[in-house]
Amino acid sequence: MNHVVSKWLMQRVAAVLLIPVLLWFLFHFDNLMNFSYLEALQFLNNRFNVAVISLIFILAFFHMRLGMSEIFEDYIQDEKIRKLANLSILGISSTACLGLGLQAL
Amino acid sequence: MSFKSPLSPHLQVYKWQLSSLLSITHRMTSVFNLAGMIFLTLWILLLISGQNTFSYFEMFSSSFIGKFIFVGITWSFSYHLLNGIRHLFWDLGYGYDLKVANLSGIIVLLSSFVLTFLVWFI
Repeated sequence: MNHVVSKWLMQRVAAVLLIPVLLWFLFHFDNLMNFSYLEALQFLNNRFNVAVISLIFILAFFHMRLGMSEIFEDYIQDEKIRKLANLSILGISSTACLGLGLQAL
Repeated sequence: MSFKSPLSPHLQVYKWQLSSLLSITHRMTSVFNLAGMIFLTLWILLLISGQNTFSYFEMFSSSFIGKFIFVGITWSFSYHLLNGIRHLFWDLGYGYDLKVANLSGIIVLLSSFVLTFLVWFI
């Protein structure tokens, strides 16, 4: 399969998988952001919660890296700046996933 | 013979229609969603760094600006999720009829507000 076509397809696959987990997440979002330190730790002590949040992080950042690189292609002419922009998205994604991993340890 | 290649028309030269408005909103919400993911990343990082540092997050989320931003992010996620489903139907080849596309657009827009309301106020 063509590289661009497979990128397009993978982004849709991630999108479909994100629908149910993101709906679950949205209905916890208001609680999550208002949790105290202890409440947040308690929430993340639950394996199911950690599993779903991990799934969201992996899928959303994957979907986001593909989507953002498309936006950068449209609006950034300079190739070096574009690469830098893509790298920064990768940096944020890795930091988040690493952070969640450390938290779950 | 001189030939000038056409420039891609910029956003402001288009006549505004529901379809174009919803389309650019889809892209704008994707950038807001990035901001949302950055907030979540900060949340995790502050959680790791301990109770004292996490209190800054608690301070922020209990402030008016914090609440405003989180409700905004909820709407952004809702809109992108619902309009994304609309896009997936187009990818499968359905819903291109002008009437259907406009109707699905209105449904998506209204539902995104309903979903945000359900998340925060129920």
